[in-house]
Amino acid sequence: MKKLIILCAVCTVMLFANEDYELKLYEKILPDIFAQTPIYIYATHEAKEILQKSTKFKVVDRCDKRVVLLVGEDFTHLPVECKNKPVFATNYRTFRDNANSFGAFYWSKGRPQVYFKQKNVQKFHIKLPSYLRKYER
Amino acid sequence: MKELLNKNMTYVFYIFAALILTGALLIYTLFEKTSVAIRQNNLLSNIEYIDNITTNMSALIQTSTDNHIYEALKKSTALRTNLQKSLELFVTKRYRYVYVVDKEQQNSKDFRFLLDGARDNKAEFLENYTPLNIQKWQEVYSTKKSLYFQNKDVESLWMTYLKPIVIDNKVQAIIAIDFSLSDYNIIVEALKKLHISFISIILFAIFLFFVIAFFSYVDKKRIQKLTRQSQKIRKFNKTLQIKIEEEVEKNRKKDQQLIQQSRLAQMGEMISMIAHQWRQPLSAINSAAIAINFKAQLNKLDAQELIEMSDKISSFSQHLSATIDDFRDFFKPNKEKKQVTYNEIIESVLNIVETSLKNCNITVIKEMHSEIVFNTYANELKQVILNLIQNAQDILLEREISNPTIVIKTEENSLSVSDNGGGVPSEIIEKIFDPYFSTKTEKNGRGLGLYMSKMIIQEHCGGELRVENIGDGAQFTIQLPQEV
Repeated sequence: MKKLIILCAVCTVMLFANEDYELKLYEKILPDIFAQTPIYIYATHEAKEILQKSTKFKVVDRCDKRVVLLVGEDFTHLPVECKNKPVFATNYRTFRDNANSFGAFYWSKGRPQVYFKQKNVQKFHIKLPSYLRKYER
Repeated sequence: MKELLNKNMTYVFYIFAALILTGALLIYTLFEKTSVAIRQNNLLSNIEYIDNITTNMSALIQTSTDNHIYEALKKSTALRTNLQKSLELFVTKRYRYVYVVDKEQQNSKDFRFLLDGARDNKAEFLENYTPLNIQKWQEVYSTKKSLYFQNKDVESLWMTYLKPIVIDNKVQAIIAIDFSLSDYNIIVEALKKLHISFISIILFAIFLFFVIAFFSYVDKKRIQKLTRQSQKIRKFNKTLQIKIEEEVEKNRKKDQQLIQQSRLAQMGEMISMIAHQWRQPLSAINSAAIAINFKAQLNKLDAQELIEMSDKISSFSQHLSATIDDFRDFFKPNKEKKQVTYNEIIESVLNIVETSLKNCNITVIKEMHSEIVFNTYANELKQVILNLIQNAQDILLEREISNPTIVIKTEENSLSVSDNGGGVPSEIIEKIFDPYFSTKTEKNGRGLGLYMSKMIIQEHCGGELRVENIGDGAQFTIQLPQEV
């Protein structure tokens, strides 16, 4: 019983720790890439929940012209005006398969993974700050 | 003996305390060693177990891929699936992640997944992977040796074990296992608590030791002080005893002097009284002698008249002789008690003093109501009564009382001498029995009479002498004990 309580406590701490970690990372990276305040974002799933907590981002429910960035996993049913917006993936598959994905942040085996796709960074004329260039592939 | 015992007890305490302290330190050292051993053994047994697992995995992968891991896995999805299922078997709550990664190029900084033992969220084949502590992973590539490390940045309750799959002296892939340190941490936490408890107990023991040592020191000092003080007191007592003896001797000598002075004073008074007693018979003898002489010159002295005259002279001489006997008896101290009555004593005293009183026109009234015969030092009692009568006489004369009277009264065991001289002033009535206290300004005022009288009644006769003012004068009462 004692072990179970300890395990639950540790998991809860880790969960909130990961969310905090992700939000801090988004708040650090995205404003450095997109020089806007707030940054209009269309996000899916968990990413939406996390980004909504920040005042630096304006998370919209429907993807429209104001949106400068898509963050999440599944963007198969997007309106036409959002088809060519840059995508910041939250899993490896979206990062690999989505033609507009220029970067990704996700957890793999409990480790944070940050990647930028050089080709798409150039495609969307994104200027990565120097501290992020080491994550370009 | 007691001091020696205390000293020995102090030594025994220090030795005992030192032994306890040494023992506690030894136990603590032993505990520390055991604690480190428990931690290391627990971790090492875990590592050993994981090493065995990864060795088996390595053998399985090598056998299954015919030593061409990447190529074989790339070629066969089924092989990947089978091997991943094998890895899944090792995944438990404790061994959370089991996976195999490699590098596309030996000098490449990126890793990629080859196999993943996760049951869900499985990493894809060749998915990029950037581990934390990447230098450790590079180290495995360069050293070709297994290593383990704790993930301090994230999920610190986990440890990672890396096992290289070396083929042809080249690291083909790395088997990674992330395993939980919760059991280990529980042990470490328990040991930490034990350590804190031990330290607390030892610190408390040390504190207690110092507290006891302090109080022991204070107590020792107190006992030393007490011993010094009792030595001083003993020394002082000795000195005091000597001083008391000296003072007692001085007082005894002083008392003797007082008695001597008092006796001399009384003798003076006695001589005065003898003079009074003798004046009349001497005058009569002188008259008789003058008459004989005168008649002889005139040749008118006949034989009959001469006989009468000589008888008179003889009678007066006998009276003088009797007076001397009376005074001599009076001053002869009694060595033994004898049976007397108050009447006998009073008559004897009045025989001596009556003439003097009569000459001073002082009336003496006797109220004799006691016929008791008692055993006492008669002469000493007589001296006291005489002293009281003389004092009454002195005050009556000094104050020039118009009808001077002295009343001598006896009742049962008591005898009182009172006068109508105005009494003793209240401010001095408490002091009149003190030695050298006198209100008299004349020759006899030495202040010893009443003091000696009180001493005689109290110390020799076992009675009491008190004074009170009654009516127009003072009354001195001698109360002798019943058994007297």
